Amino acid sequence: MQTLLKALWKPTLQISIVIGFFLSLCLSPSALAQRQGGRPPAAAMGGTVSGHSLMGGLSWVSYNTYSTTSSLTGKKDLLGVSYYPLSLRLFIPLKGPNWQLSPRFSYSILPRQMLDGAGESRLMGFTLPVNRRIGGGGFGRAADSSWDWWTGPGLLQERFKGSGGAVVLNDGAGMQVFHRPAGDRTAQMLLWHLGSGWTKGPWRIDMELAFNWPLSEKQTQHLMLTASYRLWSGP
Amino acid sequence: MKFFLTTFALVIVLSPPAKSFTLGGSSLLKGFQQSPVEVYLNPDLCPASIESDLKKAIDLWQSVPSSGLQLQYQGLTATAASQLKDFSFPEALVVACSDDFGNDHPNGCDSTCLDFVTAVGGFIGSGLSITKGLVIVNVNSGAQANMHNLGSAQRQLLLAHELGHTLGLGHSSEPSALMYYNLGGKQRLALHQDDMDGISYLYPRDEFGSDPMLACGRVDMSGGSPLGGTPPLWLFVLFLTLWIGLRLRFRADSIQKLGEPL
Ligand SMILES: [Zn+2]
Repeated sequence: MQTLLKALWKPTLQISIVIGFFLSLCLSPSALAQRQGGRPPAAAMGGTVSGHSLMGGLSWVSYNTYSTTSSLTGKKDLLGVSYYPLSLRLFIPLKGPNWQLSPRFSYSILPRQMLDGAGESRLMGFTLPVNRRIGGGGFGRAADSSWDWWTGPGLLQERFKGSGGAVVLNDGAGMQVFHRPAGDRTAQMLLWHLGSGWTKGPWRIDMELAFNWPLSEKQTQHLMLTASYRLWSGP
Repeated sequence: MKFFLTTFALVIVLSPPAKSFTLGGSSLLKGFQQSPVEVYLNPDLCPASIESDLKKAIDLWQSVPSSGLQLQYQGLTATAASQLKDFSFPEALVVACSDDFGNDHPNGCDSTCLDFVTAVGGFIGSGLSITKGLVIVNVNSGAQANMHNLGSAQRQLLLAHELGHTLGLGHSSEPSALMYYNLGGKQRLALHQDDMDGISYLYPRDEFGSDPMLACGRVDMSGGSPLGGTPPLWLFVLFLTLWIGLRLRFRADSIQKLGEPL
């Protein structure tokens, strides 16, 4: 499985998947028909045509993809550190049925544990994307499904919480006491998100990529997959 | 949906747990407060490639994306290894080689030690911050652990490991980490996630606080681009594709509009 994952995530393949994905969205017959026909869609990004809706989701975040190196060979790992944040996302109609604003807050209630209970870390994120509906909702497809792609800025925090204590480790010449981290530290990054979502009924699946602003000195890339469910819809 | 949930469950089950790093000083250590941390080298007695090896080791720590650490090579200094152990030198961080490693090692190094310890990295601090750091390399003639006996990859790994100590990291329990006590078996200069966690803990990246955008736009005299880091090539490819995709789509759209009245 690990080998399969690694093979799947070879950079070339990664690029072609992303390219193919967006190309298929941009050139899909339903996307073309949508612009041409101007018929009102049966479903929008949050699962409703014109109102607000609130969705709750669970994500898998591959934090720092293609940055971590596996120790012995020095080769870059294609997947980063995994986090599983829960998220709340509010879809707000902007202009017609095709544009929405969808602020999202996410937080990993389940932390990433370090070995021996030495500490844990969590992700917290806020994203403010604009969604553009590009297809679905009629036109020979299920009446309640819809594709959209979205983009916007985000803030991502990684919070470390050390549990302190000491450990005795080999020092080459003998054993020595080393201190475990005990403090709380927070790393904050400004990111730009690029994603695509598919809504069907109350369900929604998102695939997204977040990276640093172009002028940032150190580039990071984060991959996210989210499954969410409509919790509320209103006017 | 079933497929998605199954994949999700598999990913959770297969994720290996992270191992843990330690700190060289107190549990609340905060690392160097000055930024960038300026690194100087005294190349006397060192292997000829020491400067390029050191630069590679610096780049390695500097490259951790979730860390705000700014580690900068500043050039050569005359501060000798023998002047280092009382930390009275003016520079922030000095790397030097010693042919009297037994005396120059801050804790001393006997004949057994001389055959096993190729370098030492350490720091002193005030409060929870590091103020000065040193790396002293063993080039004692006759000593088995003499740096001249190491290959190029091993020299870089060693310098990076000692820099890790100087920056505030202790040893790691993860055998694959750079900060594991034993570098044997490692062939390439690389950081394990555990090393990255450690340096990110000591020097967290904070784009809203002390290091906005990590000094973006700063002109890097060491030959980097004036904009700093280079965004990955595939991001450009992605944007290009999006742009072309949208162009094609709008073109197809306008052709259809011309051809079919609505
Ligand atoms: Zn060490």
